[in-house]
Amino acid sequence: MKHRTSLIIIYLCLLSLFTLGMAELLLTDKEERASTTENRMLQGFPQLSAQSVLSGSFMEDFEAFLSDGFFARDKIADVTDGIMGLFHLEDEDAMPQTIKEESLFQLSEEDTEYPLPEATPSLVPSDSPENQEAGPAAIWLVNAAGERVDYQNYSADSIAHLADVLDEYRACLPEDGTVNFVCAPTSELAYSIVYGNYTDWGSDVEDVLQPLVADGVLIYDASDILRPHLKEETLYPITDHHWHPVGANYVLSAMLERQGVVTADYYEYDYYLASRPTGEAYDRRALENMAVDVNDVPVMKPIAPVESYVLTNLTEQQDCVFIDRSDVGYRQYLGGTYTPWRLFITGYHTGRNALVIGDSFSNAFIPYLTPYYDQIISTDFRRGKYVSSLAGASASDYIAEYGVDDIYMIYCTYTPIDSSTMQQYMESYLHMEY
Amino acid sequence: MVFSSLTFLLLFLPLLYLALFLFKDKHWRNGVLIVFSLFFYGWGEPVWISAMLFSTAVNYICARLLCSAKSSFLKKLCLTLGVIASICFLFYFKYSAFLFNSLAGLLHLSLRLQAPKLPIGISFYTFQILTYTVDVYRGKAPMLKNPMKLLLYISCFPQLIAGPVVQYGDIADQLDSRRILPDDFVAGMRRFVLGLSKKVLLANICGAALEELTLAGSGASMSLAGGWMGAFLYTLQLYFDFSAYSDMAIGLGKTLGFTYKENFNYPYISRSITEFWRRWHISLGSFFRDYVYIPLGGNRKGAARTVLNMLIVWSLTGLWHGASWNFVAWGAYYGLLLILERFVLKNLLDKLPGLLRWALTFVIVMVGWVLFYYTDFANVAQHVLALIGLEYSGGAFHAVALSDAAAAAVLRKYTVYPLLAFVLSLPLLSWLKDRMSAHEKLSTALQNLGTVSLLAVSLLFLVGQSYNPFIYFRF
Repeated sequence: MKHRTSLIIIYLCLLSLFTLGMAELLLTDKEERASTTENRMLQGFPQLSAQSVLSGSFMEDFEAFLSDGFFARDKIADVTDGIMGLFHLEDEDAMPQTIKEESLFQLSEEDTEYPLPEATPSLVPSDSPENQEAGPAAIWLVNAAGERVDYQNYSADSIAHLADVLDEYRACLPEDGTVNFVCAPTSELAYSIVYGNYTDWGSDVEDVLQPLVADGVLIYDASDILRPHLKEETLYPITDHHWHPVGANYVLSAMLERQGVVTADYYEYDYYLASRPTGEAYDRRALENMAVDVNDVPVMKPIAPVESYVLTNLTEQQDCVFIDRSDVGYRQYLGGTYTPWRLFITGYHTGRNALVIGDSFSNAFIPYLTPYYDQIISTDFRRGKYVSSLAGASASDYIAEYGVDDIYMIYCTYTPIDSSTMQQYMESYLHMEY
Repeated sequence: MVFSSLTFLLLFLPLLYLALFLFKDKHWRNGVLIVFSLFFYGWGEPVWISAMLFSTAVNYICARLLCSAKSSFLKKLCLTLGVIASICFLFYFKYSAFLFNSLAGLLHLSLRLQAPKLPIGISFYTFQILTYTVDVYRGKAPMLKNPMKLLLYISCFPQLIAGPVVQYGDIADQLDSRRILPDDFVAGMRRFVLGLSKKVLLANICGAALEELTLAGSGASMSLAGGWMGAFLYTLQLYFDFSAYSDMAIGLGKTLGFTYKENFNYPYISRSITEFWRRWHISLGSFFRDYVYIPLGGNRKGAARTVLNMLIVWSLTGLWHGASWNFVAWGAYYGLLLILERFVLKNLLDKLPGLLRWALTFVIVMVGWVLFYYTDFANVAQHVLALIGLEYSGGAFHAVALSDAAAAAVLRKYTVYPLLAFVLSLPLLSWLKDRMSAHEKLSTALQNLGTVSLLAVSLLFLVGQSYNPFIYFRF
């Protein structure tokens, strides 16, 4: 025989594997137990029964038991992460299991499904030839001549499809649950009025959408809600395309009041000012002539301590900052966007739980929602922000697991109604099979 | 059960070898192997053992009747019954809902048939059962009087779930007499560990990168770089995933005394599509050649008939991969390319420089995998358009962005992996092995070290990383 040494080595390897397997079976704790490092329950030895074997659940749980109970599993995960780290450019903190939004002040392609304007938003007069085949709903501005000019125009199909998607989410909720949808204007529309030549804004998307949806789906017109305050208050920090938290609070108050809930005023919360960043909005030519300085972003201090986690695989929790004081400006809210899901345990006891789906506009919205719910889960389905493999379960599974009563969908006009996020991802992630 | 699971590595495999070590008699060893194979198959879906047993029993009876039949008509009748029974069995589970729903769609009916749950590995073991009945009919291999031997051939766990498709004629002798030689055992285990590491360290990581890039298969708003990166990652993932399983199957077979034919031979170095299909999933190609193409007349009945035969074979090849029109289109894509290569472009392609032919073939294969990946033709079109820098929206074509955040994030996170995986898809190890053959002791030491290291690292990754599905199981 040529390979005596090799054979001995292979026998030794097999023996080691078997010893490891038997030792795990015999020595590992058979009870389900909590992992403090992974923030989840580890699989105990599964119950053996004819039913569990025939259904395959015994085998599935047994695999999990072997994996969860493996000796020094945490250290092994560190080692494999370290090995992975040898081959990529990103450092461990910048791209761990969760993806932090790179820069809220430099929009990625996916954020900007409509082109950013040069000097003013790219608007088309409603009666212009380009707009002859326009859809039945639009978000618009009113120019100095009193003409309505469309900023975004949606087809009947995209509105109808969104209505179906909203209804699908509504169907996942209990009878008294609500789905609350808003698509808020970004700062560029506000600047066009506050600093530019436009006099008003508006939207008829809500009027077209509301009759198409089921009971319990409530559509809000953010332009109506914000209009009375637009010129009187700073609804948008000029450093950024996001809304100022005061704007988020106005929309939240409108939503809750429509549900019959009395809300707290913006000024009832305490704030501190986040350092002033210069963002993409400040750099635009639209702002060159503005005789104003960049302003800081007020960040609210939650009244009750909020526990904040990143959620993966439906139940696996990982600590994550709620308000990140080390970051800049708007990004302090929730510490930016994380994938795939977040969980906030609010410290309140209202008996209701909420789900917030949205883009980065939801980050300043969620803190104001905390006093009204026991738990809030949130997610951002935009392309490049959501890693479904980490989610490990469909949105409907998350809704069921966390007993969601109400859903808030908070988007801005950079994630328009005919975007892939609203037309495709929101629907596909709802019942995606894993 | 999957090869790359802790249950298999820590318990099943050592216990199997222990049992084989204890039972020296070949009949007992066959019995042990059957028991372990059924346990392997039943782990996860025990109910489907009965489906496999049923299919095996039907063909066993047909083959027995076939051999005892006096007239050629009766022999043909038995063969036809066996083949039809196997095909109907496969058709019911895999294609009935697809066909019904496609017809209902064509007729604008709102009726929909819920597809039955697919028994794991059904496409592979049905084809193997077919080869048994046909090979017995052709006299290529003997009929098995002992049904347990047929069950061993069908259920033998290394090739049961995801191939290679082992033809009965190639393995009939080994069911009766085979020896487990120490040198073969060593070579088999090395091959198994190599396959395991390909699966765990390359295929899974390419798959994770692809998942992050494409976000569950949507091709919407894809950039040029994202499109190419996605196609490239899937090209690598598919190769390493499937060839890894074949490596493990062939290696395990060797440790049990079986010699399975090679299923892959560095397909990504091919310089033509014809060559690619001689190197990719060889056992499936051989099956369709021996059991469909040649019986249809092959290339002996004129050019027109050859073209028709090729189209039939390649549409069936596509359909075998899944009950979906994209697989049929994928098969037809290759059928047309092979016809073009054979009848139209051969002289032209021969004149091109080798590197250009390779690059052309690689791109064509990547585009083919895009077709294979998406079940929705709109996504296919969107991804293929992104590959040429275009997207179609609002009734017009527009240029897509050169790159996007998801592509950049994946590149930052996985940076070297795709390139490393690509280099390893070339015959580098085989070249190294040839170079080292003159230094036997050094070569053996390095192989031992490599095997132990790869096994250890793969085990660490199996424990530390959770992403672990086998793509070819769904076929």
